[in-house]
Order: sequence, then C-alpha cells, then structure tokens
Amino acid sequence: MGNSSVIKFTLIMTVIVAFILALLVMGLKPVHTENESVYNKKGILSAVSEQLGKDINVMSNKEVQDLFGSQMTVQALNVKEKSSLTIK
Amino acid sequence: MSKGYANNASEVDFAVEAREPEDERMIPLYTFKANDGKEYYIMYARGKGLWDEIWGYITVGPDWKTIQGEAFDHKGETPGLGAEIKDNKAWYTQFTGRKIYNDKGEFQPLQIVKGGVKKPDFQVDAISGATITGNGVQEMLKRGLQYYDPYIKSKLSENKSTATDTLQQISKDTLK
Repeated sequence: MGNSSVIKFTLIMTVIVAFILALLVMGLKPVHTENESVYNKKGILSAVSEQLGKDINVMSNKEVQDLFGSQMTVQALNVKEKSSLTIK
Repeated sequence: MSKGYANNASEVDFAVEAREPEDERMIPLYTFKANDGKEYYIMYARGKGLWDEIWGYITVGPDWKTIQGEAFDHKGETPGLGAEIKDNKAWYTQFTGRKIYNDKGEFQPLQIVKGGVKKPDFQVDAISGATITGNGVQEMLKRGLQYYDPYIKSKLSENKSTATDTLQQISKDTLK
C-alpha cells in the first residue's frame, strides 16, 4: 500500500469520525442541557435541604424540575442600578 | 429594563454575567417558598479555590440576617482536602445559624478561622489541610454576598417600618 492510499484512508476516516462525533454532539445536546440545568437546580435546592425535608440526591430529574418550578422564584438583581427582574 | 433584558430574569445567563465587570453584573436571588408558607432567600457566590472555581449558595430566612442553609461546590479541589467544602456535611452545616449582619444592621463577612471559633455568630472552623480553599470560601462569601447588601438593606428597612407600623397599630388598638 502506497503513501497516497494511507493519506486517503486517513482523510476519509477523519471526515467520517468527525461527522459521527458532530452528529452525536448535536443529538445529545438536549440531554446535556437538561442534565446541566438539573445539576444547577439540585445545587440551589441543596441550600434549602433542611426546609425541604427530602434528600435531593435521590430525587429524579423530573421531581427536581417540578419542585424548582413550583416553589422557587428567580430574581435577577442589577448591582449597579439596584433594580431587579423577576421570573416565576 | 436594564442591560437589554426585556423584563424577564429567565433571559439572564448568570454564567455570562459572572464574567462581566463586578459592578455591572446581574446577580441571582432565589426565593424558596416552603410548604409551611415561609420564604427563604438563596444568594449565590462564586470564587477561586486552590485549583479552580468554587461556588456556593447561602440561604437566609425572612430576617435576612441568619443563615438557614448552605451548599458549596467546586470544579477541581482535592478529594479529602478542599473538596470537603462539598462533601463534609459536618463542616458546611457549621454555617447554619451564623449571621451575615450584625445587630447594627451592617454587613459582617463570615470568617473561616483556625484554632477555634471565638465569635460564634460570624466565624466557622477551617478545614485542616485546606487552608487555601478555606480562604477562597471566605473571600468568595465576602465578595459575593456584599453585592446583595443594597437589596438586603432595603428589605431590612422595609421589615423595620412594617414592624414599627404593626407596633403602632397594636398601641392604637390597645388604647381604644
């Protein structure tokens, strides 16, 4: 097998593997985003674990999302302007 | 409204905001409504540990002064040493019951001290072998929580005036 065949094989494999990886990243993006969101929400809820009376680590992703959605309000405070935005 | 966010905190990306200059940031304040109806306020702080970023959430009750809960996390602290800020419940639960405002209503940064706590309201014991991470937590809380100071002061004065109004009302009712 000559050098040109090795180069061709390498190029083709690189393109195929890059394509598969790109597809995987795109396909798994929603799962990644949801897991990240749940991880952050678990972190926030851990700060009120005494008030919750439940162990956050044994809760399912859906339970965490539901709990956060029903009992948590988020405000964004503007440090400079001393104003705030609120979202339920 | 400010910084181009229409009127909605859901549009604010706090990870992006964390990279903004300190006095121009939007900071999150989470309000948790417990099953008994009480509200708890969760503040967020981010800082630097020994190896990488550390962050934490501090919960205060309706008095805005006393810590009611806490959670810390890190990106790459050493297991058994700096990582104890997240893993060692006996350590981080020391924060519960500590205060972030003194009796005069001034912001009082929490201290992480070695060799025994002398001011139990404002100090917690350090983790052995994790001095730099401990200092990072102290600095993170000092810098992070002071951004909430103007908002908390406004809430404290609201509480004070509500309390005064209630007292005046009680006095009036008693005199009738």
